[in-house]
Amino acid sequence: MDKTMFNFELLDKDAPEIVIENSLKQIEEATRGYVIGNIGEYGGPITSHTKSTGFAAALGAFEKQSETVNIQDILGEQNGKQHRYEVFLTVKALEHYKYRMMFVDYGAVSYPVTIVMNENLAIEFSGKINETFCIESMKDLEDMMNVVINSDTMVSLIQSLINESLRQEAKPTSHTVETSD
Amino acid sequence: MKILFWNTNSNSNINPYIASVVLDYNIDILVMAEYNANANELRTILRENQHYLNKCNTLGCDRVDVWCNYANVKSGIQEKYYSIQVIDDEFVMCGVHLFTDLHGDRSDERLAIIRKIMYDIQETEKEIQSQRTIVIGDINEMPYGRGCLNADGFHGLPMLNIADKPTRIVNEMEYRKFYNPMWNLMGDFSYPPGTYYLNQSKLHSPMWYMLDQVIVSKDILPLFKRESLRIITSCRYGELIDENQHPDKKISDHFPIMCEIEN
Repeated sequence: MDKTMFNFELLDKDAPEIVIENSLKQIEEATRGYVIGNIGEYGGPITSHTKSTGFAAALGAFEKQSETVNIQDILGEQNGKQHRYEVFLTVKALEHYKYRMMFVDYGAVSYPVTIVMNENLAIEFSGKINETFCIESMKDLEDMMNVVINSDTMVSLIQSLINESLRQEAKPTSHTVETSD
Repeated sequence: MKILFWNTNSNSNINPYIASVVLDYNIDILVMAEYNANANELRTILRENQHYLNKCNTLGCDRVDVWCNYANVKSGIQEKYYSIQVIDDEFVMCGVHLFTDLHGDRSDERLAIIRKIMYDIQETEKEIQSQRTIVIGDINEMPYGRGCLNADGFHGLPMLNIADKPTRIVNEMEYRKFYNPMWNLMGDFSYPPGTYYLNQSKLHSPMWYMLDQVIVSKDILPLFKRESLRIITSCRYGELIDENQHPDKKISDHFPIMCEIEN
């Protein structure tokens, strides 16, 4: 084995959740704090609505969508450490509101990271009915987040949420019906 | 608290029927799936009859609409197939419209979504410190389907008493019990035997399906008015059934359901 064989320059220096957190800041900035993008640890099940061909379709645990079983993937990571996050929007003056954009899932190795995206966002992002994406690098993840955040679906939703938040702010405090007329 | 659910089959002319059912039963919370009519028109009809329902915030949920006359309603998580609303800081109401088996068995995917729903419900319950939960909507499966009955699904049991243990243990995992009163409405001892009719050329076909359901948590049991649970087949505006006693598809292919919770 040659000493020059390996690269010790850290390319993907930030973990996926850090990359996403940084990308989400633009939402809060653009909306003057009315809509905030969040990423938080997630303890629930992640689902993809697309049936995997040739696999049991029960999706209690996250399953990477693929046509074949890659035995090497299963053998590769043995320490069982799993990082699972949800990426979601919250809105000023809407106390419990939450819109989930995607789930993020990776093991001991940060990249590739698996993203299970909200179906509407996924369709606009890829043009296909495919919610699951395998993102190979930090740069690819940054690019993906920029596309998704600035998508028509997101912009339209965020504008509606701003309107709703303003509507709530304008109401007297005793009347807390959140409406979307 | 009177809650009505109706899958309105994208009928853009359904407002008079909706309004009539709402007025006939003095509904407080209206949950709809496949609502494609003019919301302003519905609001106007109701207001002309001194009934005021406001459209709740379901931004992010494509398939469910919620209208309500409660002053204190806060939207919770909004996902494609379900909308969670918090009412009076005390009740978690989850309106659902899951996908159908019409194009093939999707019970596994439905169960997967239901697991996510239950997780989100429980997170909302922790936030508001209350376990008074109502799930209502078009689940697109029978009460004995895996999504409805599995302990790791809705766990909607046909019988649950206040004195019963709140959970059941399966393989060392604890699962909270819910109650599905819709079990009581199946079969022909009372009409109709379901909320949806489909006669398929299949060996296994009940023809009448109880796709639209309400499932409640144990904490709701003392408040649940059993006699209020019904499948609605007519209203003052007109009958909702066709000449074969099935849902009139010119109105909707589903019957509406309603129940009342004391609060």
